[in-house]
Amino acid sequence: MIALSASLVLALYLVLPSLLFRALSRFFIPLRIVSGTPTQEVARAFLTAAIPFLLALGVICHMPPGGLGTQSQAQATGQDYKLVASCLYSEQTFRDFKQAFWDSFGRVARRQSQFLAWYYALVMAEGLLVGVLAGHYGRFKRNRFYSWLADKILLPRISEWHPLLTPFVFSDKATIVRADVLTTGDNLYRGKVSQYFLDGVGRLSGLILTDTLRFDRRSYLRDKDAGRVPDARGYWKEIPGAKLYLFADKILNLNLNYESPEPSAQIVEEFLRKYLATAIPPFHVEFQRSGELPQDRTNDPNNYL
Amino acid sequence: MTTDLSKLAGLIEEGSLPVWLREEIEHKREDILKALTHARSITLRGPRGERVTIAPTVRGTNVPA
Repeated sequence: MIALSASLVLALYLVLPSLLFRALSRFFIPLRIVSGTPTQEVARAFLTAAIPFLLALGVICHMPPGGLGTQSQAQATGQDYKLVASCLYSEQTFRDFKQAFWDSFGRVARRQSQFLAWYYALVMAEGLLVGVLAGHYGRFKRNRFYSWLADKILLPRISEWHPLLTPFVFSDKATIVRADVLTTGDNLYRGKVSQYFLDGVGRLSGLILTDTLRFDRRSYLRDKDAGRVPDARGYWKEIPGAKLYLFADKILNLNLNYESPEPSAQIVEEFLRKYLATAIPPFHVEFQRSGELPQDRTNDPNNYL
Repeated sequence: MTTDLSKLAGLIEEGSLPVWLREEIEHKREDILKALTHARSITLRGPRGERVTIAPTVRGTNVPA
């Protein structure tokens, strides 16, 4: 009986809250990208439950009608728990105090129902909060406190494939991840990373490319051997078919490029400083989308080359 | 993941430009240098009408010269 009770307590106070937390947070971030061992999973379940548990305990202890009330009421509550625990532990005690047990059990069940209602509500709120914070990494990452929180608490065990193969780190989710993939068959493919797959321990098992091109290496080498000076860009051939699935064990390496349709001025400036690599006067960058006209500057032809 | 996510994010974001902008910068490197050296601005145009203006900053402000 005590084993059954322990299992029920474990399920109600740890497993179910953990499932609720995951169900809510997965609206914002896919859980498969978080890799961890079973021990880490249990530790995470404890940590996830700790704050809502303590808060729910505080609420129940200080708010009517679940408040402990007077000293005598608190003692009576304690007696109820002692009797229930004793009867669950010993069948003889249960037989001796059968009616008293059911009375105490009813009161304990009512108190615990109130506690669990608060506990589950707080776990769900925590799940939503963590999901929102983790799912909007691209938007919030410039904040130093948030960045630390994401590194240490929110996303410390994120699979590296998620930030690498999706626009997760960009605030602009229209950013395209383009990959040049060299396979074991010495084929080179180029395309947009549409989807990727992980195995049970967070390793890449495959990826799907769309708008795929294959590099015609044979023709390129033949033309090169013939003494021509081939332009490599002309040897990319379109692959018929919408999607190309590549098995991870056939991939030798990946060359990834991220194409943000509207890069931030800061990124353009950093790129320019690095690319120009020379002493230049201070400058800044303005980005205008299609249809937007820069103020005060559109009529000055000297501004444009 | 053994590295911090913030470090990986910084690496990923570095140089994450649209292809047209990267090609324009590479193609017009000398023009950009010349414009900035002579305190002039230069505008790079994208295929969909996007415009990136690179302008010298007036000392002490963030206003194009």
